[in-house]
Amino acid sequence: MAELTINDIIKEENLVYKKTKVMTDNVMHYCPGCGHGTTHRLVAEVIEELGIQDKTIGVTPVGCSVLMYNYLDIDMQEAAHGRAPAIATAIKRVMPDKFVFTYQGDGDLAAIGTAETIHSCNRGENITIIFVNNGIYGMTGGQMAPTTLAGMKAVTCPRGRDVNTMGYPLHITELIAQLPNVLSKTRRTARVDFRSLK
Amino acid sequence: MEKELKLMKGNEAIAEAAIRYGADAYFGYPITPQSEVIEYFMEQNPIERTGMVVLQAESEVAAINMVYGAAACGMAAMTSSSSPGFSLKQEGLSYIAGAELPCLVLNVVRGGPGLGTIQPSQSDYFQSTKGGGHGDYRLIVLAPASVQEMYDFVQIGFDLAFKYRNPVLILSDGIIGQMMEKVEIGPQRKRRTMDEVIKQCPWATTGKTANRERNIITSLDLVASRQEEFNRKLVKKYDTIREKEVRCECINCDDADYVFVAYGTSSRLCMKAIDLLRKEGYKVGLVRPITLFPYPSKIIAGLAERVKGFLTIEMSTGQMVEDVMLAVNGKRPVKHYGRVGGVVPTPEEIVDAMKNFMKGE
Ligand SMILES: Cc1ncc(C[n+]2csc(CCOP(=O)(O)OP(=O)(O)O)c2C)c(N)n1
Repeated sequence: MAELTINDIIKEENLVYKKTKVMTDNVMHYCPGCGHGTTHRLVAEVIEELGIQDKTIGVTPVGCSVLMYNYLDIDMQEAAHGRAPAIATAIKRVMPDKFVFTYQGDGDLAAIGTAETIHSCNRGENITIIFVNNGIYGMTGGQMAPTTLAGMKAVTCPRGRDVNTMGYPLHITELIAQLPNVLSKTRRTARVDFRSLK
Repeated sequence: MEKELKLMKGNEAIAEAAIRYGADAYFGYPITPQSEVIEYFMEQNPIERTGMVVLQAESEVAAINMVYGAAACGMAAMTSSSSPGFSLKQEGLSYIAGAELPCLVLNVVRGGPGLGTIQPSQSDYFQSTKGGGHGDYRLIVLAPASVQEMYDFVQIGFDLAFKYRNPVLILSDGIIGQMMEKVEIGPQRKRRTMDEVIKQCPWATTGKTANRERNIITSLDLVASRQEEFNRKLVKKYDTIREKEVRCECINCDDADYVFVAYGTSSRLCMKAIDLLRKEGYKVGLVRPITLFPYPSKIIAGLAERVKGFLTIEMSTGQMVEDVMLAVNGKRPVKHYGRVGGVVPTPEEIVDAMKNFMKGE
């Protein structure tokens, strides 16, 4: 059997996967093993699949993904820490024909931005919130987040999260699911295969 | 065409003016003495009248960030509050200034600090004119002295905001907000179409179409040298504003020996005090800054060449007086007289203050 050359391999009919056009070629700043890159790609792929690149407005948070607008080829706004749902509320209300999403970490969404999160959901704003929960404050260097697990160590709880003084991890998604105006809530894991990191 | 006249509260005039201007969105949160703004909007249901969006937010923080979101789409967006609520808006204003977005904000000032009082005050001058939030930025600040000016400054304010891509503040107080006066109402302007918005604001996040690069609205730059460059660009903009946008009224200044410097409600009280003083033969005038940033420093410096002294009248313990001192630069005596905590001085008190000042007390 003749050996396959690289040109045979990249033939159109052999392609099972390619980078979506909704992603830019900019090099990502994320740490090895971080799930943000995967999650960005998933968001971008969905935007391409739905054919809504020209009418999507994204809102980026304060957190590790603050520079998400460098990686997605769509119009984006950078929010103050926790305020993304308020910003998205306004975008959608003034341009109801656009698709508006926020992309937020757990500190952003469930600590400083809890009010904005709950009230935008309670009003039933026609927006999508992508909540990326890593159980920690990544960007500022690993401090305790509202979602940090009981007993889990972080730089601001070096002896582990003590639920008697710091409370239990906040189940914000379950809280929001109680609100009658919330259309749907799904939960996915962006799994990182650490074996590939060596 | 016959003039349309209405008897309105200052707070109502602001809302009506915004609808007539063709504004796109208002986001607010109740607080005395400005709640009539959002109440009037809700009563008028502008989504029916013009398609304007009005929403009661969960906090002043949310409201100003909603303004950010709408403004970043090229919309004419506004919010209003009173002092404690206005403190909460400082975060959003800093981001709006940093992202160079146009918007209009109204502060109907009440006495502070803290929860203070619900009575009128002018104690937010520093916060309004010197930055307020973090970072090196300025708001354009308009100070209305009548209900008519509350109405008129909405159009002037939005136009300036879009001209310079900078937040504009109408700095009012509990008296101007609450009192009723006759207002001449302008015609209803059409809201811009989406095409017109895109033409006017090519930078806005209106959806990345095939004919352009993506638009990003942010105030972040992690490269220090680039951020410095941006800060310098802002300074240039503020310098242009200082050069071109000063508004000020000089009343009875031509023959004046002494002048009051006062804005808003205090300037109205000074007008009455000037009447009383002139009847007694004192040659007294008034400088009324209409823009507090940019400040009419040159006009005051010019007057310092010939008048004998400046007395600022403020409902504060003395804030604007510092800008008068800077403008006068030691050439003449400058003093402050004010009542605070929600107390409004009487014209007679102001007359006495001026007489004492003239005596050198
Ligand atoms: C008002 C304000 N407070 C604090 C910060 C500092 N800060 C930046 S990111 C961050 C935490 C973000 O954590 P999270 O939302 O969980 O996102 P991650 O970085 O883990 O992706 C904090 C506290 C800030 N930028 N602004």
